[in-house]
Amino acid sequence: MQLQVKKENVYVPDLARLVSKRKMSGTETLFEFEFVEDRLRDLFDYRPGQFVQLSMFGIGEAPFSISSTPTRKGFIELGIRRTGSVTNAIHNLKLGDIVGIRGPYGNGFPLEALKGRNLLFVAGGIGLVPLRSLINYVVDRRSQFGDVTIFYGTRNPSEIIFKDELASWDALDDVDFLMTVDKGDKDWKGNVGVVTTLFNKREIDPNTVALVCGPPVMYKFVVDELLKIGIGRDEILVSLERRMKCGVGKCAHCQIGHKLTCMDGPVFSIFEVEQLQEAI
Amino acid sequence: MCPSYVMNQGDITKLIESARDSFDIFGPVKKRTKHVFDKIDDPAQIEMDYDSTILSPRKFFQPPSEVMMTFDLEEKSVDDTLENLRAERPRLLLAVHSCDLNGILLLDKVFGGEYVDHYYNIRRDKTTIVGLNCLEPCEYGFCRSMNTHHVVEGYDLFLTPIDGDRYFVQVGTAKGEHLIHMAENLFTLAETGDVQSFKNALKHKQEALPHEVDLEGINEYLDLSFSHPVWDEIAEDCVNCGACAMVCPTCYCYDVVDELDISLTSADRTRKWDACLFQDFALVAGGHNFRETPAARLKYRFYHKMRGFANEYGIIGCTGCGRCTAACPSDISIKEVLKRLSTIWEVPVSGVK
Repeated sequence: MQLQVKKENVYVPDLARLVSKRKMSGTETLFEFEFVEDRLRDLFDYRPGQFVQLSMFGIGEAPFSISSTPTRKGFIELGIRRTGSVTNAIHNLKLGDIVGIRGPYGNGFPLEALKGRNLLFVAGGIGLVPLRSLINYVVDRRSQFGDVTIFYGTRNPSEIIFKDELASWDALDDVDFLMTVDKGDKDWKGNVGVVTTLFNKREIDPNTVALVCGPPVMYKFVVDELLKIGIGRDEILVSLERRMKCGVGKCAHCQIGHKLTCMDGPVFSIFEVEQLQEAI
Repeated sequence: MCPSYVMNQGDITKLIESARDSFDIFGPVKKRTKHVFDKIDDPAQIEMDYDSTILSPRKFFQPPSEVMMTFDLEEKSVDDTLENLRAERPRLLLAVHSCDLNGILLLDKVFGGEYVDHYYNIRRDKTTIVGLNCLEPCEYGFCRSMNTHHVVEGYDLFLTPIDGDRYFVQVGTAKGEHLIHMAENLFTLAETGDVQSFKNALKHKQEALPHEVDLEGINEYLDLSFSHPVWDEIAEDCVNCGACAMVCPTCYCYDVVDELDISLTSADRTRKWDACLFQDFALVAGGHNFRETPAARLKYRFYHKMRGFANEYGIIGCTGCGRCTAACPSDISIKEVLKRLSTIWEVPVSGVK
């Protein structure tokens, strides 16, 4: 079920409070927010893959994928890289500080269509942030899905995020978790190589839905591997990044060809992406 | 059907006089060698016989810059500006050509839909629009090619010049009817002879407005030209100034910025016109730019108009008003680009990347 908090003015954010922050790497931190109004904590529902617009009052507003899962209610987690003025301000927040949040927006992952299917997650770098929402959703409702495999790659060990959670996924009997780094360091004992090298280590059933998120450069190589396995173009789903200013189909900043990332996406199949030039 | 009326062309100033107690009135006035839509304080300022205006009437519904909300940083509260908009005086917008009425209809679709943009819609509701038929072509326009030379809705009253000195007046809405009641003595019910004059005017228009660009096959030639080097040639002169987007009646893209008050205790969130021609338009966090080159941005604007709009809203997003051509410092003509693309059939396939 999809509940959107209905307000007269769609651009006005609701107040939310920072309740915890967890540093994940040198530049990424996981922020946990809860709405100031009790009512909204219950009302706010979302699908994995959707995003919110977060306001730092007086500094600006930016879109962020929701990284928590709707199966765990009452709070919203956003994994954020320090990269510009808004994200810098977010990183400087202290516990209890107030921000604005509106949403959720976008289509999210097609949960109904994923039920009963084998799932392969392929995450590169902070591409894990939006995928984590769906991974934890699947973990919480494990019996609704077939085989679950997770491939995660980063450039080097210092960029690995959600370390505790990766270990907990790895410990699950019914989730196959593999990770790699492009370049190791002296303490690194795991796989070395780009994320596509993990495809050599597992036999993936062609009857699988692939969920892919990572830097633009990663997609082409990952998609080639998936097509080689025999996964259909319409069963390879990606989440695209754009700088939405409105989130509701008005400002046109996220327009790609004839689609709006905020309204038609951010989740698209590779079939759709290949029809939209300049998407990746 | 609501009856039609006739009025003397010279009485437009009397209409302005009758309406000024109820409305802030805007219409075409002379600005140096060109015309602009501006506030009319003296009825004699209005120039009904104008070619085009520098900016389109979009500015009345989506102003170049507007404060959307204010933040009280101490109280942690948000106040939007919708109440101020509701309290503004109603507006009367005079002499809007068919191309621009069609542009407004398109903006209605963008700012309506699943998520209603109240900033736009409050202004829209509070504005009464008197349209004006063009019976002669203008310098840069090609409305007939884009099928925007006529309107079926989008006006409250619509004036068509007849017999050299009168207007045939069609009533589109109750707001239009209300305006007629404000100055009843200026309007007389149209009679058979007036309807004949109206018909003659439309026939004259059909003959006078040229049909210059063939939209037949536009989907095919857009498909065929996307990866074609023709875009590098077209974009060679483009300086990415964004003038085409600023003057466009249907370019609605905007940017949103927060501005802190000098006291640091409050801030405004403002939206401003933006243009996909600007280098940072498709920039995302971390520095990746999805449309890095000037050619990619020029092409994008074109495809958004000609294809993106059509896909989302069912109609092409260009009204053929010609303002972009008039404003372009490099003389890039959207009409000529269309014509050039439509000859893509003649270019051998070996030239395609």
